[in-house]
Amino acid sequence: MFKLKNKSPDNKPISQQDHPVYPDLQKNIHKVKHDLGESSDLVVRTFHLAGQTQITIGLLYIDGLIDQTAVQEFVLGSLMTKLQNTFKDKKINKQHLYDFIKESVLTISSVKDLQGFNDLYAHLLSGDAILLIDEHPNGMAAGIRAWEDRGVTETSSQNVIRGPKEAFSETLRTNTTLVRRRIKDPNLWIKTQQIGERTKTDIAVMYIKGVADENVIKEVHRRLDNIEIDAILESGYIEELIQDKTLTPFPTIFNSERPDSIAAGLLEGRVAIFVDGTPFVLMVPALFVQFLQSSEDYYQRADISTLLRILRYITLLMSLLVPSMYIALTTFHQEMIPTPLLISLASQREATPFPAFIEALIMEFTFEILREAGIRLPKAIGSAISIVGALVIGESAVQAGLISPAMVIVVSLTAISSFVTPAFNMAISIRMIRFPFMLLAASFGLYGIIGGLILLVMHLCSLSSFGVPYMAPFGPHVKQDQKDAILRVPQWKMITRPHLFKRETERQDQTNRHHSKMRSQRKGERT
Amino acid sequence: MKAKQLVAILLFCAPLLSGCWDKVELNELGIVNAIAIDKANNGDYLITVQLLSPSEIASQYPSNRVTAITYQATGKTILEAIRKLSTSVSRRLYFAHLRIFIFGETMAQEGIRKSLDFFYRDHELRTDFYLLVAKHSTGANILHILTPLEKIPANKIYGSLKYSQDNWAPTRTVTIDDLLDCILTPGKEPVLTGIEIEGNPRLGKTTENIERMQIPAVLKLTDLAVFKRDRLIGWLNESESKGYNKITNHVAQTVEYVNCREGKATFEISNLQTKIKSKIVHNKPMMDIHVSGAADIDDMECKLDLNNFKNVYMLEDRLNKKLKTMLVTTVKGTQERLNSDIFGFGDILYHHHPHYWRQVEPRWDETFPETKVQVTVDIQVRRLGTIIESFQ
Repeated sequence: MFKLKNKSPDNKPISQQDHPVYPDLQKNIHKVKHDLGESSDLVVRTFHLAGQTQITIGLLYIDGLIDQTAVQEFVLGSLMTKLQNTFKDKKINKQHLYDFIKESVLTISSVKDLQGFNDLYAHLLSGDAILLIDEHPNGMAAGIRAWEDRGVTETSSQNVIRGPKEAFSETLRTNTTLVRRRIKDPNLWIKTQQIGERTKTDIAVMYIKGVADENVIKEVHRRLDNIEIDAILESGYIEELIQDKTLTPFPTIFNSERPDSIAAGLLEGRVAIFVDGTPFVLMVPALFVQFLQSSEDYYQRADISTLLRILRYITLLMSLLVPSMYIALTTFHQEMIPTPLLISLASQREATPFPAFIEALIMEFTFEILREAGIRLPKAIGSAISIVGALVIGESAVQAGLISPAMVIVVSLTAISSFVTPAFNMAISIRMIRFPFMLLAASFGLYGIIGGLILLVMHLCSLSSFGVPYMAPFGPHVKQDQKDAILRVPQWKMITRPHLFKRETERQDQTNRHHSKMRSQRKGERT
Repeated sequence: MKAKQLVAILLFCAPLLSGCWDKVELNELGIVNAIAIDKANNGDYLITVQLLSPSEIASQYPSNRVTAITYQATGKTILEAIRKLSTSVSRRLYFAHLRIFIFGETMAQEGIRKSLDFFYRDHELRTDFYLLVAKHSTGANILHILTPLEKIPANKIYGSLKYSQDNWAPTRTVTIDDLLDCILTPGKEPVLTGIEIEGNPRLGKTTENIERMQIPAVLKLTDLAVFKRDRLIGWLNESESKGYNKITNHVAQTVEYVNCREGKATFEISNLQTKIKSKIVHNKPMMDIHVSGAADIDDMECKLDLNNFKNVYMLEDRLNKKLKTMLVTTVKGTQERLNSDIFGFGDILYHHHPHYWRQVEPRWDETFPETKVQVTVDIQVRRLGTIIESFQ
């Protein structure tokens, strides 16, 4: 819908019809005002150069996007007062004056010439101050952008116990800085471009030259260049537009609000895509295992992390299969349930009105409603939802004779398990697939579940993310990368980068390691 | 495109229209926990099934309704009788959780082979239920007895059978696989544990049985029932039953006492290992039974200085002798009284001396009672317990 597929000239935005800046200042100001629809936040200030009443200069900026003190001190201050004696009694050449102002007067680091009105608008609306000199057919943009932002705050959705707490914020530059501060390597390259015909959103592609695969970098740029859309408001737009395969419930692009996990990804040879206006940074190629890993895995001891990872795999399976297994076992395979358990389940079911499948469907559906409501509710009435939730999925539903107690346990277990997965988008896709699995279980029992699992695995294996098989290092099996998939081996064992997007393979100097090992062995001999 | 859409729609409908044909909700199941087969007066099968009432068993607020219900039906064939039960039972009978299978005594005497086919053939039944024979009773009567400790009567039988085999030794858990194996293997005959009602069967069928402290009627496991082919031909006594289990290497633990000067010393025997070897002597088979194991003194009544190893060896020797006598009488008794090769001597011969077995197989019934048996017992006393001399 957003894609502008038919580029007929009549529906082109006005700003696309480029026009060089007029030599007449008043004409320019009039055009800008007209094009911006006399918007109230446009500030236009005309003034004379210090002591030279014959020279009029126009200053245009958008209120709120620039640094007020900088405008006053370094632009107005420099031009109106400090030049008091410079031009006295001299005949002034306009081109000379323009260059002089640009080179010697403005004490601002970034000053650019304007190419035309499109360029003028781009700078103006990005928060630069525009300087136009009367009777001179050119203008300059002074970069004094500053606006209110949230600042670097704590992570809100990807929390850890141990590890850095700071999260990305909405400003692109802050975000790239957060990563730059972690990797002080000249090879950390950033390429910025603007996407969005109207929003002109800054998109930064970041990678470590020499570590990231050139083909992946090229592919990222190619896909970004192919985007034609009027607006990019969040990295989700980019994610959807550049992912390998659209028809899949699984995310094939990783996102994170944590600078440390993006830095770690870059060091592994991945490519990060920053989007201005969102704290969520994208990273490719993304593998299935990545969504089950938390950055904390590398900060805690290896054995703890391995255990937690195994737990996550189990809970992933649980959140996918527990309701469908319950349905299959209780309606088709009663012989597989131990007798005492069967008796207790059967006695619970005596008074429940719905078949197990419908019961499970109602409960899972209710839970999804609760979860969604919990996110959308205003904070002030947040506690109401937990009270009501406990009534709907809980004792009261059982006492009302609508639901069997075992089903409450099943649904609660599924709900808790699905929140163990560190990546929310993976957790939610698993939650979605759960429903077809329940349907399969209700119609074919375990046979249906196995059939569904086979299809699921086949689908997962067919996916890829920027040329890297999604299920690596399981399928294809990469022996070296098993060290960081289900297991997390100790840091001193992680000698190579992930195999699939490596350039510079070694992470640690093996010759050095060899020496230290020898040294310790020798030490051992002595003692 | 249209064809594609049609295929998609059909595929989507397939799981919905299949109608889950064999789907059964738990509350539609009648869980059969025990079954008894008897002969009706007219020669038909009389089937008794014991259904569980889950809501009574698992309920936190039990009423005084019974936890299990029995239903009966007769039929020319087993399946006919079972399907006839549907006229009296409101639920679909579900046999996968069958625990106990009881033959009435008369039924067993007339032969059980024909009645077993259904239970082995049907896919719903598992093969891990235990088979028993009702002693001096019909199977139906056994299933009618209410049990006080266990809410599920069949679980009572199942539990005591398992516990008793592990710790006392005269009983034997037999699954349908074991039973058929014994019936079908030449030179091997089956045994089943017996079960009887001790006390007043009439009171046992009422709730009075679960209300009194002293139970009016108790279900009790008895000694082993000996079959020849598929017919019940007689019973072993308790000592013979224990002997039988020892010879066939089925004892995990048992208890045995010997006389000492003025009382008795009781041993707990464990790690019993039995090895049977066969020899042909003068064209006659001879079985060599060797039993080894360990014993702990668990109960000592007489004043005997156990610090003196001679005394310990003396007790050990008596124990060995007693066991030897027990085993010899077991084999002798079986050979003379019952003439049924429950020990599987024939099968052992077949494995060790196949040529000889082929000669004797047709007249094994005459050869078996004459088979000579040599028993050696080597049980060693390991521990004396936490005190040495008995306090007197």
